[in-house]
Amino acid sequence: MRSVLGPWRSRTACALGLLCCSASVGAGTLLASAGDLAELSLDDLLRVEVQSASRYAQPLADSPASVSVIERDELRQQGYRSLADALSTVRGVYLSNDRNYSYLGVRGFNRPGDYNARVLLLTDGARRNDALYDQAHVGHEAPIEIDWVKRLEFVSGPASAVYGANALFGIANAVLLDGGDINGTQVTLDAGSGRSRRLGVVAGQRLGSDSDWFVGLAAYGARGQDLYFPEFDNAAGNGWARGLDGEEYQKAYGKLRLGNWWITGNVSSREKDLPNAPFSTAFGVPGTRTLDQHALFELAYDGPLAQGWQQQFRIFNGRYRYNGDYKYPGALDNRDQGRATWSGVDYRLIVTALPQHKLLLGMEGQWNTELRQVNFDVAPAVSYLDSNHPSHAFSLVAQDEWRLHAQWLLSAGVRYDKHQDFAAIASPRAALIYQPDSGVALKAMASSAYRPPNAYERYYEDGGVIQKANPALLPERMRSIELAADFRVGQAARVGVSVFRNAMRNMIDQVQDPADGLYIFSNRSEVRTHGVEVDAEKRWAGGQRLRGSLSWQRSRLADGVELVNSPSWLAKAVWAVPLGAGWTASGDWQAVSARNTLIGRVPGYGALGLALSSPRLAGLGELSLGIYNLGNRRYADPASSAFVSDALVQDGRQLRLRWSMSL
Amino acid sequence: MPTFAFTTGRLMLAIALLMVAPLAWGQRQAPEPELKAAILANMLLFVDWPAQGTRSAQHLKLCYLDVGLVSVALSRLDGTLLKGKPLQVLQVDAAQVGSCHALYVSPDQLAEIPRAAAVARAHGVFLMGDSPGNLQRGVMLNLELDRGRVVFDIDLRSVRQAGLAVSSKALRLARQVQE
Repeated sequence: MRSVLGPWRSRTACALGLLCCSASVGAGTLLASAGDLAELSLDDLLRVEVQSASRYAQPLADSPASVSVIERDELRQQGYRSLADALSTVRGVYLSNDRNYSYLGVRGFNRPGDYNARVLLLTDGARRNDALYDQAHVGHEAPIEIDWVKRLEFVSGPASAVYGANALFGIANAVLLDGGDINGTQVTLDAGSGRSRRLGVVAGQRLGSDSDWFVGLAAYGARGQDLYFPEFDNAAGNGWARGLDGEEYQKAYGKLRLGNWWITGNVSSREKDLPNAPFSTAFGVPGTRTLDQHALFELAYDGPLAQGWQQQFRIFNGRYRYNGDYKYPGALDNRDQGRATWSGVDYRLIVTALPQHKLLLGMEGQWNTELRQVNFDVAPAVSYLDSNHPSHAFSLVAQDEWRLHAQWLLSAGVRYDKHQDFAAIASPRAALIYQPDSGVALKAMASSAYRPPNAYERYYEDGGVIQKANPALLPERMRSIELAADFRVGQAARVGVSVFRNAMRNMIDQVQDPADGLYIFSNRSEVRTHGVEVDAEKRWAGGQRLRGSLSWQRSRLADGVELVNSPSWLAKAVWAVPLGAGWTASGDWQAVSARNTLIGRVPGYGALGLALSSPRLAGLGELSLGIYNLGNRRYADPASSAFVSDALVQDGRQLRLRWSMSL
Repeated sequence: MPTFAFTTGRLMLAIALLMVAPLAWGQRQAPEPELKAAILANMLLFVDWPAQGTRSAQHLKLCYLDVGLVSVALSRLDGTLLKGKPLQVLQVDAAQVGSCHALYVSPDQLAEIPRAAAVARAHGVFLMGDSPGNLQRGVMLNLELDRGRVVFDIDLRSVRQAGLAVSSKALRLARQVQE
């Protein structure tokens, strides 16, 4: 096993040293009593921040979409290990995993061979899907850590009208901690199943009245599981992959706010050994692994609201690098690589000067200066693919929130996108919201979304072995209508129900060409899904909380066949109960009904997780224990065409013990 | 990985610089109900009431209809001196609204607004609230949250109809003034 913390040990130690030197003085001032506030002038009162409100907050009742929010106390108590763990508790969302990446399914769509290209991942509002494969990485491969998130929002349904491509199925927005949320340094050590260990450091501070810095660092390593694969239990071997499931990652995130300006930097690197012999590689042979690296640098300005005008802009530079090392029988060493570099600008003007209107006008441009894909054998040296197709895209956005009446809000928007290789596309959206009183919101929403094929789907080929290119691919489009109702029950409970119908045209999907047996991405005829989601949550004054959802959906291809990896039913519950003396027990239960695989079907399952967290123990930090798949249920997710088996067995019971200490 | 190693290095340097930067005292934060209550009370400094017989000249009377988070926070301000007069915070029935200088209507009492607005206009009561769409309902000053801070909108028409005046200083700080 490679040393996990090796390259990082010295740097982390250095960072820790510096953190300790900057002994945390001057925490953000909490003006808790009415008396403190009475001393302030109106000017000053308007500058006071509402505790724990986020930078991107919008009242949920006014939001022209169905939004689920996971708050900070839940993120801390439930023991979620990744964005994927947390997102899988959201209504209508389900996960699958191939021991390399986590794939998000939303409202019945989770296409085999799709790397989350139809879910948009935002961190503090910045787009994180890479420019080559459009991937939204949400597992350990994600550019950020779930520990750095203070609020996780998931918007179900298409939102291209505001965010453009990738926002077809939904948007996951991770609002990261600000320095003022920490005001000091917190160190976390984890140990868990698969001999995993993780070191995490978060630090931050408010500086002066209007500045703030935050830094998050993490390093993780795991030996992984010894796994048995019956499909490889044959004359060539006994089906056991031992020591071939290792994983390690290192991540860093830093942001500095100076008045209305933000500077953000994020780098991550994750390496995963693949035990399940994807793409017909040799089973049981070490060295088949992938490397995923993300980087983002961003400068953002979020201007003050003055005379009913507000300006926001970002400039950013992003990079993504993928290395796949694949060991084939006969000591053949194949390398598959992707490189993407992009830069962009994003400008938004918000106008509230007109009574009853909130107008948003936006402009975006992104230049993908490198979209390179390479595939070659090391020895004998043979090149199968060396393609680079840089591209650029521009878009314009206009949206108006018009309060027609005290109880009626109309939100209408349109986005116009022009990708250099495709005809311009307009994506409209409209939502009518009726709030007869503060406890009820009824919404009717219709929207259209699109996604142009990415460079991987258009140009990837591996020399006629598994996959071939399709430069003639067209963008896919989705139309969606949704009716939703949200009811507040008492002070701290709500119930929501939503009925939706999605229709996707020209869906970009991996299919096998019967002529040569090769896989190719092609546009398919119409796919429809419709369904109903019900969710409810309640918080009690004693600290108990309960959140649950039930979803039913039905998906059909044009020929009437149910989609692969599209469960009819999803049921979830997430809860927490204080045990006294500051201890909290929490848990989550998720059930997924049977799903089609590429050639068969996997049965449904239910899995339970529990977590126990301690209060701050005097001088000894905090402890927590997470148990995942408590019942050790054996279940499988549908696999893509990359695997011999059409179903991949998932992890059994897993443990994680965490110790954290605030310095 | 030269590119990544280089960028990681630069980031580390930036982080290190950040960490040794001098730390000043922090940004102010407050719970939402307390902050809203303080702003509502403070607003009264900027309102001029016509001299009218029914109201006491010795007190500034701030009323609310039901007990909620903001009303509770308002009650804690009872007795505070504003313009040299003690603030009197008390719960009233809809029928007694005319005796108040100002009335706060919570999001749970939106149904009461049309009646309260009529009384407010007739008796010169400054009507305040904190629910979206309140200005259309006849509320004169409405609080909202905008990116983590409290902002306020004013409807000058209903203010004038009630025979009240709001000073230009407050109008300058408003997010939106409807005329």
